Amino acid sequence: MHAAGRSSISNDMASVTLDVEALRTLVSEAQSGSRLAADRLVREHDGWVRSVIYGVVGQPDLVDDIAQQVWAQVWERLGSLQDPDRLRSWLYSVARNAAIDAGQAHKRRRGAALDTVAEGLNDWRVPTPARLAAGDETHELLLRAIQALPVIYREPFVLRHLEDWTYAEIGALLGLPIETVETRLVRARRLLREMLKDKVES
Amino acid sequence: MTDSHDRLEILISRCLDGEASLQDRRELNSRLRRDSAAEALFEETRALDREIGRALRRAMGRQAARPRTLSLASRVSRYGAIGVAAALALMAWMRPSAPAPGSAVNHHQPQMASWFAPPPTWADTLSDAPSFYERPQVRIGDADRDWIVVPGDRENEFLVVEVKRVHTRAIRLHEDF
Repeated sequence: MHAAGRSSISNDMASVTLDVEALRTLVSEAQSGSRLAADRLVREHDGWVRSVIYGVVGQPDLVDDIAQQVWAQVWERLGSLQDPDRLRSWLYSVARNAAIDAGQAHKRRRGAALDTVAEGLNDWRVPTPARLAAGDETHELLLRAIQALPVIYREPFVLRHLEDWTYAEIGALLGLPIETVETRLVRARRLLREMLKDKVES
Repeated sequence: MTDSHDRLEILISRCLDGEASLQDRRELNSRLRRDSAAEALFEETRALDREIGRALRRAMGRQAARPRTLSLASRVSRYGAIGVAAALALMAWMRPSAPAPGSAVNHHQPQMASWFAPPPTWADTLSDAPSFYERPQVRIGDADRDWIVVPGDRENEFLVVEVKRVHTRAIRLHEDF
């Protein structure tokens, strides 16, 4: 099965949303300033770009801001994309770098303001009384466990669960062999089981 | 972790991700049948996977996962096919008999011979509907579709009227405006 998956990586990736020719045309139109084409690009790719951002930073409340930054950068730099076939990997590198930068900046800010009570209460990870009252304890617990995963495990795990991508599609985006994607997903599940053992009701 | 346990985790992961081959599924089923600990691990992982998937989608403002059993498109096409089949069956049942050989009159193409001729009788002139037909009913989504068959003015002539009734929903508002 994996051998078949490996041989069809490029086809899978191209056919996720648009065929190759349509994608080339769309990128070309967007590069020449078509607002309509740029909007279409955003609509086609915004979902998985957000999943990549979440996979890197691990905090859902940061995703919106970073996604906006990413699309602003894409709009500015789209002219530098030589090969439209590489749009997906190019978008991935833009999103990943933006997410790493934003995550580090957020950590620095949090470190500086950690002494203040207000900042601590605004942190999404702190189970505030309101959230607990709303029955969000399990939800928060699960998100904290996901955040605690190492990035190398969280990235494929989030893409698998949010985008429903195959191992081949995830591997093609992250530049990993299918076996590595599989191993990372197995380890992510093992870590989550260990972290959440006896904490989440079955 | 033993090799056997690692292999079990790989099989479970493949199965949950829809990546398991037929051989993988057979191997996993065989292990689940003879090993209760393996079965417990499978159930635990599956439940955790479902909860985490739900939490992720909720955190990202996504809709719930689509049911993998039957998609909306396939449901619509299925009910659509039923509706089309019902319509075709009805049309076949209602089909007028072939015109008699040598008949010079084309009943389906009314002709205006002269400006001064009396107005012809058009096909949509209705007569009393006999009660020998049944109205098939097909429900698609929020709409009830049925066909009303009305006999035309001429012999063996029927008009089929498709009727779609959209269901209305009453939503109680709790907000005080």
